Amino acid sequence: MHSVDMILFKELAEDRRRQLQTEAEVDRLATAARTGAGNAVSKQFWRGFIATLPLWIGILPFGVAYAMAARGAGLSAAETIGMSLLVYGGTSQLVATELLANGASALSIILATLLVNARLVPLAASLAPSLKCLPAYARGVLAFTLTDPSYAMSAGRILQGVAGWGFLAGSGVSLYISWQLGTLAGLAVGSAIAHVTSLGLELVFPLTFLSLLAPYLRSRPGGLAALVAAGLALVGRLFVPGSAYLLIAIVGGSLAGALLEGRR
Amino acid sequence: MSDWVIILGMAVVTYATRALPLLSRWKVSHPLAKRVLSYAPPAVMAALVAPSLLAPSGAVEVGPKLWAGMLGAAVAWRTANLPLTVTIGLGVFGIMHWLGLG
Repeated sequence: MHSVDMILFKELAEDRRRQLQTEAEVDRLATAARTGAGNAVSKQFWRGFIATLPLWIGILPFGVAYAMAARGAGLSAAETIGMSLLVYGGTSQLVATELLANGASALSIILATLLVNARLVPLAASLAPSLKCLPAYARGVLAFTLTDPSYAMSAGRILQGVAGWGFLAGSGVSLYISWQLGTLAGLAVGSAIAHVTSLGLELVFPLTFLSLLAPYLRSRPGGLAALVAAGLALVGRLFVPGSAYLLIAIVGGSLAGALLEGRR
Repeated sequence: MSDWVIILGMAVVTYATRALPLLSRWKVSHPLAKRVLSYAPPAVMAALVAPSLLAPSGAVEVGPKLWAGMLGAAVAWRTANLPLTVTIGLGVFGIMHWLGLG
């Protein structure tokens, strides 16, 4: 073959090989997610459920705080638990009750909820390839339980192919139950246990996330992603009103990590 | 307007943020986009940790939470052990709180 043809041929072969590798990789992850990396789904489910139990220590007081705020804002008990059951987004629920108490319009409350919860989009998007082998209704049900903590507990394992969707389901269901229990506890007991929120139990969240974050910090891009995200979140929280800072921090951090990896 | 309408509206938009990426056929195929999404886990966790440890109520606070958090970070860095990190962190915070340091 002519030498230029040889070069082109080799490049095409390289691209094709890389493409096949990537496709094979995606298939491997999807298979691992579907089959739970060889473990039965029910076993994965319980592993995820149990692994997430420590987070209940932080979620229950949070639920109590929300319920008390909701009642204080004038919501009925049914509306309070209804929001927890249907919306299932702690921060957005607290924001909404605050807005309701201040007489905000329905549209602004719904928009604020969208903004606060928009950070869930990249979370779901990053898990989509691993879950694509599930039927649509299963993905739909699984989606309902997706939150930051269930993502934090499961995503690392799923993306590396060592756990399947069962784990995500287990941790999601566990957290969903704990949120409802917290809300109910707040409704039932009210101000009697108001002091429980000053015990610092919500520290359980950052402590958990720190221990899950640690392995990622061993790599330079991972460390940079965390550093940029932390910096943006801090600056955003301090200087930018509202909850957009989370989405900005997540996107910024992910970009930083991806760009650094691309340079190596 | 009835609060239930608001609640339902909130539920719809929230579910959309969770479900659309999982249900839509739109695939992320650009290599850079895939890499970006692969760094979502550390970015998410760092974005959640930093404000809650350093500025939980909107302004930078130095106090038992911060110290407990920093100790927890050190334990997490060395061990990556979840129960250990949580126990030590909560324990330290509890002790400082009980001693009246915060």
